Amino acid sequence: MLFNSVEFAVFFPIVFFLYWFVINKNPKTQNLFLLFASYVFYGWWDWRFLILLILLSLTNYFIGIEIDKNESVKKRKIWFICALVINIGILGFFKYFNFFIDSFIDLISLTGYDLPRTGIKIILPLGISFYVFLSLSYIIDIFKKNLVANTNIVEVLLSLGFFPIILAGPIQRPSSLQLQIKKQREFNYNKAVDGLRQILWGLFVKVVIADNLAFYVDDVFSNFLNYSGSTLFLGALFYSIQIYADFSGYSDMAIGIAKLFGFDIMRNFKYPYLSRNITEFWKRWHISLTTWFRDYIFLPLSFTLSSRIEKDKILFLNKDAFIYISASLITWFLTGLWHGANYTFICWGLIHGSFLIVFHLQRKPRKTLFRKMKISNNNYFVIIFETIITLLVIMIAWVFFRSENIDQANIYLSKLFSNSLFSKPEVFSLKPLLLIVIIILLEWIQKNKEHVMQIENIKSTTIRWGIYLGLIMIILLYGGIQQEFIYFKF
Amino acid sequence: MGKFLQKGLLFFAIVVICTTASVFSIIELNRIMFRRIIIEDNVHTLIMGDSHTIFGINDSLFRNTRNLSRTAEGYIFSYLKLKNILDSNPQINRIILGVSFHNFSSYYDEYIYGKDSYSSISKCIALIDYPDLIKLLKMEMSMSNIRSTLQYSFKNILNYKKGEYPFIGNTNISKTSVRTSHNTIMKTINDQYYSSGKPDTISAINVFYLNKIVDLCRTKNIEIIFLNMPLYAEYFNKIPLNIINHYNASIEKFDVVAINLNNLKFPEDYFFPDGEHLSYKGAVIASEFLAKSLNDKVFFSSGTKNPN
Repeated sequence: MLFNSVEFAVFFPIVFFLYWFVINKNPKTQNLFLLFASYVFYGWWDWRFLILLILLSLTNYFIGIEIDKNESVKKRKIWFICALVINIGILGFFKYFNFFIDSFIDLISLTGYDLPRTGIKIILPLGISFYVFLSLSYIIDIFKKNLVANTNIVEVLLSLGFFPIILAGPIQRPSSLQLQIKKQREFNYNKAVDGLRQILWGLFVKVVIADNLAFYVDDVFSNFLNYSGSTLFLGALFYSIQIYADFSGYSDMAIGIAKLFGFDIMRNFKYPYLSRNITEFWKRWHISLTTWFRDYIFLPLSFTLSSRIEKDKILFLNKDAFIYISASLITWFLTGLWHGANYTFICWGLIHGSFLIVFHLQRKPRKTLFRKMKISNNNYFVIIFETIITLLVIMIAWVFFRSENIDQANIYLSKLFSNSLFSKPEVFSLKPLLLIVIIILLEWIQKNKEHVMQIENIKSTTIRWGIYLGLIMIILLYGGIQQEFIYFKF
Repeated sequence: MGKFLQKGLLFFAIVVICTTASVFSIIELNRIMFRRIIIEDNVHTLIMGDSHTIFGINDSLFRNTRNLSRTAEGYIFSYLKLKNILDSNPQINRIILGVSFHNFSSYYDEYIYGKDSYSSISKCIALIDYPDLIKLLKMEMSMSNIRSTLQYSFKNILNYKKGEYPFIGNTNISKTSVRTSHNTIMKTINDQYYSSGKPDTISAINVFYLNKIVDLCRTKNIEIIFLNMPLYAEYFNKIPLNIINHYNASIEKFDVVAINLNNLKFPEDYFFPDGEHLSYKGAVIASEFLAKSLNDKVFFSSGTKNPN
């Protein structure tokens, strides 16, 4: 079921009404009902994969208890490894089986032997990368003793399958969600209104911005060989905004829906294209995934390397730089791979990893240079220049993310950076540019708010309602042709 | 909670009222702007049809003739257009209607009430009565389809220019040099005659409105001519027999003059890669041939023969 579908428009009010009016006395019944609703929501797409979700959640529930109750480090480790193998194994099978087999066959073919292709087509269960990561953080937190295993099966299953976040996040840590699940939930008027506003904004950016830009992006990326550098530049720019509008729109809807049920879900985007540098960008983009990789991959890896490396210098690098570079490259390789079974995603991840390393290494020299040249870090010219450079760097990386394969991305970029970059674009329309200006401008104005539609400071109800109504009419009359959410593929 | 529900219901009611008002305004404005179609006084013959006649017939080669064909136009829309035009343009005395094999295949229903119908419905919205409009939308009720229909109807208003009608088509002759391609022909055949994986059935709605067009012309004493445009031999040979049989039976049943240019054996560079649309070269020859046929009143009436 999609948030922007008719089915959901029927499903949601029913669930909302029953949740607050019929079974509002006891959090246990509310939880049971939410779990049932979550499974209906997920099973609507394909009930067979609902069984997979339930089995995986049950497995993690029981293993969580086993890890928690055992005092012996060895036994805890065995259960922990068992959980890792099951979770990563399931993800690997459904998401990466064909990729690894094909890559292996390609590797063998280099030696002159041609192995037959399997021809097996494995359907990717919707949201598998998200709910496996939810499960992994639950298990890792218990293993690290940051979380006590919850023996209430409904609470655990709900925290691993809560419907607003099951398909594409945000990857809310079960530890924080379970605390909210346990509590008696009271209806909060302001929170519910804020949730509705956030849903409206999410729907607006998805349907009006992302779906309209999709038309241009699909055309440019499908016919990139026929277009000049300037058109390809616009294609890459439009895609950068499209993917942002698509995913942040989804996240806004998910967070808004959760608010209507009394839950606070972590923020997933903080106006990322207003970032001055790549590090800042990753603190603002897909925050739930970035922090997941930081907490469960980057930091443990850095600590492990730090405790095992005794030399002060490795190659020509000092120990800290070496650890940072190694841990970054591994983390970003995995981040890329998480997005999909294709070399383009790995390449995209490594590009970001490399930019982060370069940024990390130039910080001190930059500071010295600025001091010598007496340039303030808060100089408007510097801020705007750095923001644009950061956007350009991110845009180039998106070309890999959007391309079918590495060759396509390379050709696309070589054509983009040709003389024709300064020619008149073949595909040019004011509409997408206008949409981009609108979204950036509104975000700039509301940059200190959690989402753009936090307009409670407008006291006049007529003006506020006029804004809501205006947005609804724009969605109705200017929305693009319905597209699936991009992150559903992951 | 009470306050939330009260305000929520009030806002919902406002949204419903505003949306309904917008929908009706858009439809009614379309009607006001495009209801009465005026064709030039010197035009006596109209060419109607879909992309076959758009690409294949250059109306500038004909006297007192205008090509009003529109891409993927189902006969229901041709009928509505024609009904409106004939009511206010008594000088029209002849209709040349593109009737080819693909018009009888049920794949065409997609353009009439299926997922690709919003473009046609919205362009003709000024001509469709409310009960018919509801019927059409109900046949493939998807929110996305209804929304697109509304959006495109709204665009008609925004792009309004006096004397221009969104549903009126035209000749479109492209001078690009092209030729047929086996793969494209196969894809076109699959799309048009095997869209559901097995041979498509007959499009009941197209057949029904073809009847209505013929009846309309007869009632108004207007000559109607069926025109089957040339097809590349490889394409023609792949058309399923049930469609060809139905085409032949229809021509016989209607007892109208039928010009079958498909008897002309055109080479591959006279067609676009799909083998069903004429290229610039093909269009020039086909148009000259049609003009001569009409002038000399020599018609190739039989549509049954395989050109090979």
